[in-house]
Amino acid sequence: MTNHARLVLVASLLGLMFGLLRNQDGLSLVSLSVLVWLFASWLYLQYQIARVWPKLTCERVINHRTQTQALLWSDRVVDIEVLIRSAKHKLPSITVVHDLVPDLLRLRSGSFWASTAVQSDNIKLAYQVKTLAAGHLQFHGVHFLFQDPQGLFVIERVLAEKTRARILPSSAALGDIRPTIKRTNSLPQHGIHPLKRAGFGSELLELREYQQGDPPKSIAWKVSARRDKLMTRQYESEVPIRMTMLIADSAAMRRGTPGERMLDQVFFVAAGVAKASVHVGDAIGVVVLNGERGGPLRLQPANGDRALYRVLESLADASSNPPAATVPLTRGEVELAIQVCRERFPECMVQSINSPPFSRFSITPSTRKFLRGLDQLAAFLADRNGLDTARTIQLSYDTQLLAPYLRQFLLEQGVRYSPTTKDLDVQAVPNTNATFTLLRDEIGRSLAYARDNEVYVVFANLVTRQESDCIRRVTRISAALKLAVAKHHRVIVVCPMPRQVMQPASIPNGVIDPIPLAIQQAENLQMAESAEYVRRTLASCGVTFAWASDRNVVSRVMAEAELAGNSRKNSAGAR
Amino acid sequence: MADAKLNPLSIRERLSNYWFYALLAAAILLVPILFGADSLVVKVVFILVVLATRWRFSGAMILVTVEAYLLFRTRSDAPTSFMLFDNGALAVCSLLTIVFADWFRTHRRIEQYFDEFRLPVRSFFKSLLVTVGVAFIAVMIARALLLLVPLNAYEAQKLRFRPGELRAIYFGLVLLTIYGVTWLVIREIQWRSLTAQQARIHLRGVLVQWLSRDLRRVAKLKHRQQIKMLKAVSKNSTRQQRS
Repeated sequence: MTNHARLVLVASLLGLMFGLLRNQDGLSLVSLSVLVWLFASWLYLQYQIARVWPKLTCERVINHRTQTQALLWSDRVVDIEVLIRSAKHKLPSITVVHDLVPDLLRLRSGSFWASTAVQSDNIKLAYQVKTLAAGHLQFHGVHFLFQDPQGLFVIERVLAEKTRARILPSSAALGDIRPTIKRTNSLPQHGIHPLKRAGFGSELLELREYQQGDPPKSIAWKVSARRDKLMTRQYESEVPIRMTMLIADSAAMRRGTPGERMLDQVFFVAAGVAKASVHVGDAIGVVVLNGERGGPLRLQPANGDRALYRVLESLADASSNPPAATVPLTRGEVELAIQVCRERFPECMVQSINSPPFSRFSITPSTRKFLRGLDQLAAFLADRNGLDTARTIQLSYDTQLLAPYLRQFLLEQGVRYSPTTKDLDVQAVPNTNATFTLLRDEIGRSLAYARDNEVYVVFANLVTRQESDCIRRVTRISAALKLAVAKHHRVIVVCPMPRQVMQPASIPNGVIDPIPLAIQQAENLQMAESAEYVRRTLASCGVTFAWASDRNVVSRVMAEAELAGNSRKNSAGAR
Repeated sequence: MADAKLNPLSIRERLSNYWFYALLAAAILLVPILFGADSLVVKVVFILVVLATRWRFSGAMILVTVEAYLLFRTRSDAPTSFMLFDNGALAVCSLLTIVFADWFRTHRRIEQYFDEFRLPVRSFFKSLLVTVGVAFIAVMIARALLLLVPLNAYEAQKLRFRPGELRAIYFGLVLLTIYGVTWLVIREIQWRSLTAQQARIHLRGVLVQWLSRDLRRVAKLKHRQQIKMLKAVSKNSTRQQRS
């Protein structure tokens, strides 16, 4: 019942009472007629819904194909159509339909909403969306709002649906990925060649005396004639490059809306590197580390398109993973979960069904409403996760206990909570430390299993505004990086560019506000200084540094791979 | 809209406008019945209230206006008369005015959000006729209910009540009975049509209700202990850092 209906009800009841008491038949009749009308409207709406609801079906068409499992690419346009049909009876005259779309999709054209003006047996929703970032997508269903023509009663229902999609990360257009270094005159100097085996490559490694069984094709006839004994040409072994991408994921990397996070920047570059590597025939592997999640997501280097898709799928999985339960739960996060729960499971949040006992009192109405919502949410999540009654109460008191269930629920619903700066100030420091410790250990582990030609591409958020933070992070991994370089592997560190540095200060209504501009400039300056420190420190370790926002970052990584293949230290040819 | 201009057979119009015309027609019918020989000012005020629904007010405002007029301007000791063209016509016109006002309000609100919310004229007339028919039926039912509880001056005198008071009590009991029976039936239907998840949540709520006092005490205690432990750990770590 809407507030409007409540007002009409109260007015009618009062009118009827006074009409009867004062013996005013006109007043009594008018008031009672309105009451009868109200009752009839409610009854008819209930009847219509009871008749229509069981026979309602929903069909989703993604990119002109009816499918329950779809594969999409991020940063692409997707056509979606939702056909809602009522098999037997017509829908109530005012039916408003809202497609519950996960926030990984942004509307480009059309609408998520539709309505009917006359009783009809079908509704069609057609819209175009853009995928914002990699991850998993689940279309939860369609939200229905049935209303009587006078707007007195509203009934909400959700028609659940199980269409899922995996969004793979897109990558920069590869263009010309030929190596940027000179391919000729790359004969290595003796004594420092990292490859320990001779093989059947095209580059000459050395000349040695002929041994029985050497192929006649490899005999160097001119040298043999000069030395008066048979000499054999020994060629370099062309060991395929193994490229391993190490991605240090943290809460700070996930800050912001999908598509604008640092993690999305990193995945965009990582996907580009993976594609380029597979294109030139190198093996590609990935390790995603998250200090809060525990064990890393590891994929051994492999060749071919299958390996590429496995890497991309791993990146999509990593993008979807929720932040760990150790991160404190914020009030905003809980409020979002309550809102999502009320929107998507209205039948489970109705007072008559989900009625927690009165326990906590707060003077302010907003807090009272919040606590009531929290209790309802706790009961809902406890039921969803099969917890016992004692846990239900614990969930509403202990937010630390509630955190994993709540975050899992939000993840399943495709809703992301963007933490505020205040939230992240509390959360970022311990998580980042844990992530960089993991990164150090993972580099060490990789080195233990490394072969001859390894290229490590480390994606880590090393550059921050505070230089002390940068020093702490770089120090934590520098020893491992030095060890990798000492073992003749190539290492390149790619840092995501924080968004505030990439975008200039917003200028509302064309009026320049000098204070935010100055603050932003100061922050950019701090960031530049930190970046310079990181670049110098890494250079001293023999590690290349690149920004993820750099257009040529994929080419630079490929150049490193080329250097590793040619056993050279830099692109000028010096060793 | 371009199609509508090209094809006169498929003329579609904003639905709310039609309902506003219907509202005006009902209000014009209601004015002579309700106000009769009353002063012009009262009639103008009522028409202004009706016109105001175009921008702000709804049927509730019209209902309150009509009720207030009937309460203060009509005689309280009038004999009971339920002739259709007396109070019946008044009730039908009032109800239609209220319903049309609400219908207009709802459609205007939805039209703001949905451009495609248009209706063929034929459908509007069909809805209009149905509404008028239902309004007649509602008034007839109300009349029948009122006739069910007649004014009994003798009994009221015997029980030392005013006649109106006794009738109000009886009528209240009748309404309560109707409400109670309907509530029971609806509740039973709803209860039987609960989903498994709803039933589980309801059951959980009942269990929590029973055990809430004890469980809450335990939960609070655990929570406080955890906070104490965390504080102690943080104090120790800061001491160690300082030392």
